[in-house]
Amino acid sequence: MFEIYIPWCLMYNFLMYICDNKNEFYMKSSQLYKGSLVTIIMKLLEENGRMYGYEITQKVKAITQGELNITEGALYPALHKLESDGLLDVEMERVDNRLRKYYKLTEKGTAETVNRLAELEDFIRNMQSLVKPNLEF
Amino acid sequence: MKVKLSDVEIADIEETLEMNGVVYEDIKSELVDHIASEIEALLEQEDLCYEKAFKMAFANWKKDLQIHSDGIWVSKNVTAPKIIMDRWIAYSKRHFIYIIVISGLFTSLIALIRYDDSPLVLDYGIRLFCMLNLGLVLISRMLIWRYNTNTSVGYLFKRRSLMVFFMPLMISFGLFGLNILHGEMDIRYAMIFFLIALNIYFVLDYPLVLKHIRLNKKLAIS
Repeated sequence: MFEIYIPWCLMYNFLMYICDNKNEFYMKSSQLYKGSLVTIIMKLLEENGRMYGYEITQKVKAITQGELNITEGALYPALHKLESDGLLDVEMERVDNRLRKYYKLTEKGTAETVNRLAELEDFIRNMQSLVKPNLEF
Repeated sequence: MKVKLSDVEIADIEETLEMNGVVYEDIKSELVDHIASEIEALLEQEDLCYEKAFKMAFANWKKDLQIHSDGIWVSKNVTAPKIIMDRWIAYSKRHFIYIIVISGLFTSLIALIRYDDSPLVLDYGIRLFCMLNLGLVLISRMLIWRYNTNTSVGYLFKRRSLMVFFMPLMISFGLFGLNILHGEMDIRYAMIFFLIALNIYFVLDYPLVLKHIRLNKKLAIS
């Protein structure tokens, strides 16, 4: 099956080169970040099979070395929307003394991830050519 | 060392969420797990007591737990934390668009096939559709009552389906027959559009009931 692989460092660089420091990133590129959130979630689920909400926020934090922080207020609406669009499926499991809700991609979601990553790859390429033509990832 | 919260501490988180209006099991269980994981991480990383970690974890949710209402998309009388209200509003907005598009298509189709030749067929057709929906909504509400674990989708269906109780009134007053056979073509098609929209409104909501049942089953298993 045809798959597009976008390395995390590429996505990270894309988000980071918009601005030079963390504070600016939170403030100025929030719209850009919002637009990429769903793709980031889908990419993580594609790589990890199934994940729960807190795990997603921590994974993104770890990959971006704490630079990118997905807030709860952004994460759950995005997850619920993907679920209602039929792109994610939910599994519930008792872990220790509480219930845990795991999200995983459906078949439709897996196909959609490929499309969204291709779109994002094009976008990164175009942005790179426009903003910093000499930048190499 | 891996820190695990005790049953009492988990119950404490649950209770705080309930006091803040998170009473739906599907949302509550997810938030309990998230906040508990956050507290456990804080206890592992920093030298904190449970109470301090609890306050720090809940501080991140302050905005999402604020009580909201929405008179346009949900109901002015319904209040819920922002995280739940946003979900309901998003659902209602999306469905509003679907209802308009689907009803528009059906009305255009009816206009194209010139129902004037057999107006009674359409009249009885729509009456039957309304009666079918009335029955299905009542069955759905019974199913929600039967699977009684409170879920956000079940509650949303119950609120949205209240409109079904206007249907018997409309049927009793003969509103359908009078308007669908109205002499003015504009009024006829406006009424057909309205009636189809009303029925599509219910049809599109049935998946909420299925989701409520599925969630109840999943919650019962786990």
